[in-house]
Amino acid sequence: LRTFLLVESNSVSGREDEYNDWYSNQHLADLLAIPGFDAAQRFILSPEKRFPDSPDHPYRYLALYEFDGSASLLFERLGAATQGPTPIFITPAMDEQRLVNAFTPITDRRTGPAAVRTQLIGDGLFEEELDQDGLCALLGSKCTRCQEVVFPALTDCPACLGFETMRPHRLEGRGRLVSCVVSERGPTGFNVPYVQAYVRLVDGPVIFTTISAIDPRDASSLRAGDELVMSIEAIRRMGDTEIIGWKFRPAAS
Amino acid sequence: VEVPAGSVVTDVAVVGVGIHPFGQFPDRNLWMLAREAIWAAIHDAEIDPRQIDVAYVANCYSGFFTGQHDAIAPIVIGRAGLSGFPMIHVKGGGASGSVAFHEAVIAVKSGLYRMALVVGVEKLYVPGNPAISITAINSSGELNVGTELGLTYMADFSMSTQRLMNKYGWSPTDFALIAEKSRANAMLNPNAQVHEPMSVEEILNARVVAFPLTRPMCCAAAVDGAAAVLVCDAELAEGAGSGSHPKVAGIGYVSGQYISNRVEDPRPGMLALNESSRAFALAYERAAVGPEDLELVQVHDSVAPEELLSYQVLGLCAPGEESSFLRSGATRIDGRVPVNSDGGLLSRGHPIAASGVAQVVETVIQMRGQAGDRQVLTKDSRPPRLAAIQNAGAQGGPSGGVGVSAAIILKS
Repeated sequence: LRTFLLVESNSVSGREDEYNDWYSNQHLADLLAIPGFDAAQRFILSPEKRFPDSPDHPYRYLALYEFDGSASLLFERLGAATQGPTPIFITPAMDEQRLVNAFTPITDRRTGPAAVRTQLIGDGLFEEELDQDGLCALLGSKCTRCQEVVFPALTDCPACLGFETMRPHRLEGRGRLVSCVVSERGPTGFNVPYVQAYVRLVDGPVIFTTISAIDPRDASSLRAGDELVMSIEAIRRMGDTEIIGWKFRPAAS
Repeated sequence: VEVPAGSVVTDVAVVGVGIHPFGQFPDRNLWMLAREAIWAAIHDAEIDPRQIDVAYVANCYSGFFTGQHDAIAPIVIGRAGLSGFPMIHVKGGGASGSVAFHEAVIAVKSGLYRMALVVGVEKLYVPGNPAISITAINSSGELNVGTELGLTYMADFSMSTQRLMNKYGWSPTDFALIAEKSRANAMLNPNAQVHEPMSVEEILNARVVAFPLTRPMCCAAAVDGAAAVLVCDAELAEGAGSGSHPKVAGIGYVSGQYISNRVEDPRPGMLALNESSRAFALAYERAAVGPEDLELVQVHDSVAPEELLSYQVLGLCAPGEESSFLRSGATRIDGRVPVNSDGGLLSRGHPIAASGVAQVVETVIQMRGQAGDRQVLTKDSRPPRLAAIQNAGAQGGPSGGVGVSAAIILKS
């Protein structure tokens, strides 16, 4: 649960430098010392307006804080810090007339395509382009001596120990469910619960995957042997980077 | 190197054991945990630390958490005040501790070294960030074909467990009985991570991690701990203290195949246990004993069903009879062949690289008759004389991992 605190204010006339010095060099740090306050940033009002005839915004400065917790907890902590036995200092150079409001997110944070960088989970593991049937493919290899098919691609055969007997082999992104389970816990970057599974590809190898396009609560409808198709998509997000790998979904969906 | 005449292919004895309690120690560094275990082992053996001439340090995730990828062995050993001899850093996933022990036994058996220190140490607990511990452990899997796609060991185990339930008729109650036993044993172990007994009903009704596994049926990811043992040749062992010095009667260490089809492997088939029967075949042959001779066993129970499967893998019962063998009470602390007398991975705790070494520590303490409230006694009221340890891990590989497995048999 995150809360954003917006504080709009002005300096007392003639004391703008003093006010800015206090705000930027002391006050942000004072608030960041309060448990739950994770981030703070100041802004100044731009003179440009979308509608030139609209009335002037009454505040020249904005401070934006990110808080880890509810608005009520935020104001409780803020109140304790400003009214306790050792209250944090509030400069008289700030105009007492100001706006202090808390906002809580109602969507996740969305970004435009330019803001997101992508990174493949590994090189040479899959084709990034869809084929004519709208399917994607994994890049494995097949032994020219014993016909063993493996994924990921290898040069030497683990089945017959053939030296450099493996050749690139395209593994169609289709298969059947071997087993699956709803995991209530996961590593960093995964939202729990999610469905983990093993799938046997039509070309042979069994690989790990997560299952998309199904509510984890409905995972009990999945049966061993169900047909699955693969898609290349974001597996998880690390900061502004999306890690791209494979997922499978029920063929019917 | 001068090899003392006659010492090649010597018996190898465990003369000192030490442990730092397992649990959550955010205020202690890796080396602080390790030095406590190291010096406990030295004091236990009543040896001059100058006799140590090689050290093996098992640790998997310091690099992940701190960026200190190399130099783990000299830091851990050096900050305990020791230096000047070869120090070797060992990684082997969950089996790291017994891989280090295996190397130490080879070193002493070869005659090149006479006294070897084995340390297993791990820090995985980060306050307020349980997912980071799972992420760290996931780096033992092969990232770009498994763990980075979202694979977790607990979910992999749960899928294997579902398959084995169908095959052998196991039920969640069996797993709860294992967890109940583990917690009861850990209550008698002051060094255990978990000191909270639970009933079978409470275990069955606890939060689900991945069906059919509930939280108490799984070891925790966020655990810190260290363990150390000293092994030496037969001649040096005579001068060491602490009563009896169990000998390494047999050891087996194997790893699995790098294959894509493990989940449909016809063998018993749980990630870490696939290879254990092969490791135990080697260890039994080398020790010239069989499963019927064992009086104490420590197994790798990162989830409760692993202990159940280990009963057939070690040959303690026939395949399919695991549940009735468990319910006979044979593996309870007062049973014929107690399993995981210290609480095992579930309740003693599983700070990955420390676990294998801690299994040796517990076995030796039991064989000496120094286990206090949890002392195992045979039906003629003596401490166990023949004990087995099974430790396992998974490293890299498609479809969850390549299993590595160690079997150690100690005899006094």
